[in-house]
Amino acid sequence: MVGRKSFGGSGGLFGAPLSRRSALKRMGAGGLGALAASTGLSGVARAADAPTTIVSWASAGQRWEFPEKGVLPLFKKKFPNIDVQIFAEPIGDMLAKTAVAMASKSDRYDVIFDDYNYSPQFIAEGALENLEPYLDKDPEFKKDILADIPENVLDLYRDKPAAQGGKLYGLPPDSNCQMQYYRADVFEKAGLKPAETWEDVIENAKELSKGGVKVTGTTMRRGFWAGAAFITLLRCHGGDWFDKMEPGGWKVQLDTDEGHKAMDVLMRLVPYMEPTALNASDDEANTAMLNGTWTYAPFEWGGSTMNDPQYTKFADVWKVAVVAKGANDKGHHAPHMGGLGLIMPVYSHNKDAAWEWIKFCTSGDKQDPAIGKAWVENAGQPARISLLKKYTSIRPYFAGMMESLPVAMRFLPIPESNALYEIVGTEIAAVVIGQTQPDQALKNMQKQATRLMTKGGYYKS
Amino acid sequence: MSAAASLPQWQRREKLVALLLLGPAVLYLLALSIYPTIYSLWIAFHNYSLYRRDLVSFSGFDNFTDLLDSDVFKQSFAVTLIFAFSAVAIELALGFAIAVLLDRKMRAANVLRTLLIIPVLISPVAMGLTFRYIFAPTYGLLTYLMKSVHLPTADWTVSVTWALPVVIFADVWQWTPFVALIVLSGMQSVSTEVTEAAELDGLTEWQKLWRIVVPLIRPVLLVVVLIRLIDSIRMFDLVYVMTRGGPGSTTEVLSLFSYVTGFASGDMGSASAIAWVTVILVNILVAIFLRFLSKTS
Repeated sequence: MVGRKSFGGSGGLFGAPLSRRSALKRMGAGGLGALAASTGLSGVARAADAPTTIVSWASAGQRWEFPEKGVLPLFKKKFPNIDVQIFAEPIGDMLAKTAVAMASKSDRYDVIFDDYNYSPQFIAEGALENLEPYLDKDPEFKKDILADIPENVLDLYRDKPAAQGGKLYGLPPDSNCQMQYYRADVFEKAGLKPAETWEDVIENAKELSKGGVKVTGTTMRRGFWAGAAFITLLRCHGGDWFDKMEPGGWKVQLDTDEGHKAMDVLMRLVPYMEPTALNASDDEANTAMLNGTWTYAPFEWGGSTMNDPQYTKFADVWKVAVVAKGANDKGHHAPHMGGLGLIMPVYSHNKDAAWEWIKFCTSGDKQDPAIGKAWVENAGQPARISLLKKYTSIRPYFAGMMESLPVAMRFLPIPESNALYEIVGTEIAAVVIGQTQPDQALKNMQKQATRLMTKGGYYKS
Repeated sequence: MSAAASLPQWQRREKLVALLLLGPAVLYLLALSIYPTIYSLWIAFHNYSLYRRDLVSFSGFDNFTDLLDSDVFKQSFAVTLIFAFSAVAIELALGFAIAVLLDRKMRAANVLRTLLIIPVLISPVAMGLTFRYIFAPTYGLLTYLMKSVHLPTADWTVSVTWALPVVIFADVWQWTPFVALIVLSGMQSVSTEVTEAAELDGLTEWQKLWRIVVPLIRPVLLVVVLIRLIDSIRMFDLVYVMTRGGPGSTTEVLSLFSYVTGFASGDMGSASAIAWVTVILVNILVAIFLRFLSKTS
């Protein structure tokens, strides 16, 4: 026929000459068939496999990835049929990605080791599995964990406080709060003491920078990090986000006397901050503290590697104290409460196996003393008081954490929390690099936060 | 009788086979390209918060007009334009110079050209991380080297002055070879008869380059500038890895601003609006360049 080329000369694959069109059709059909067959075969293969594989997503490094990997061999011994794949990313990247994953209903992760700050929005989205039914199946474990983890820490993973009948949507193997980190050797040499008030902090930072090198730092990256830093200062001076967090309240209180005092302290501290601090998240802050670039971090998130000689040669000299208070009448110690907990997305297809992993990681010494030991020795920072007390000998800063946790204040228990911290953090980052004036920044954050709360329907009568 | 019914059976079968074979590709395009594009346009005209989807509502052009009030958006827009035009201008100048140097008979020319393309093959993330540690202010390699020879240093990636130039440097380092190779291929496509005639007329090398070669390769130059401009305006990975948009929002380009707005603040409506502003900006540039191109042709 005109326009048709044949392959195979006088005989193609099946004896008759094969036209180009026929060859293409057969190749296409063959490709589709192979695709269908491979999907079917892998399905058969999966059915035949015994072990269940779960994916546990954690922030990379200390406190999260390392302790999970530390207890994993013990878990495998107890649950040989559950294979845990630990997937880790730097915390500065990971947290926002968990919001994306939950919003897109991803079923890729069975357990996520996530910041409690994201719990309110995930619970509001219906993305988290309620863990109460799992806890009710093991009353002994439930009783133990409720007794050993402070209620204000467990409340971070509830839809509302336990006193109001809240349900647990996560369990914390990790707890944290901001602390005043200082290098005891450097302080001793300079004749300094940990600060009691924020004026003392500024004096310490000024004194430490007298050699021409700035060594004070904190996490001041635009967004969540800088936002948390400013809100700590605000709270330490007696202020807070809102007048009251209940119907009829929710009036934003950023552009207030306390806000101005907090901003004033920040602006007097910034000139003594080491440059990396201006764009630092936890990853950069921990690196700077471990390698000796920073010797003073007046309000820094807990870092279990600071006292671990395998990560730093300064393990013996990093000490902690409670974060300073404002020097005004309303001043009080008000570090931010931190901490990450294990949550189970409702989209997981391996919930029973995921629950075993969560229970194992949070069991402390309950199931096996080796678990608590492995967790702490692999840079974990436990939420269980029993573990904090038991391992103070190898992690001296645990004592400081136990002192700080009772006065620590949480992020907001509303879905708008992250967005509000982003608003504040954006303005603060602009102020510290001189792009905005402090007074204007306070006005901007007040206006934007109020607009966000209005959109959220908090002012409807 | 309908047109379809009048076709012989073998032609109808051929059409069906063609549809079946094209089907997966079309479905893929629809699902992963066309539908998300239209959906993002829909989101841009709505108040859409990731964490308060119970409050999704039509907002008209509010998301776009709110951007005009946003200092961070204005900053991002300016940073994007400064980054794109600076990087592309430097890449064009350096790339052209390298192309001129390579456009001659010399030993190992092929080897040189192969080595030249290596930066383009490196993943931007890997390259960005490397440059981040080179330019780290206190413990980076560059600071160390400069201090060891008693030269003054700067805060590089955390400096309001230097952060953007550092990112531009990294981008220029990676993409100048690409520009050089495209321009070189344009130069080598110029007919030797033309250049020989120019030599016979007594033109110097310099005159030959500017009066003969450059006008002839102008379409090539326009195309490579357009490609690089589009890529630069959309750039995300290099800035994200090197500076995360900081310090403050000094290096926060539009694509990164859109990401932070959408996934950190949860405001997908505004994030989509920013993305569409970027699309409009790119399309305006393309329209301008295509006009130049058609005039040149």
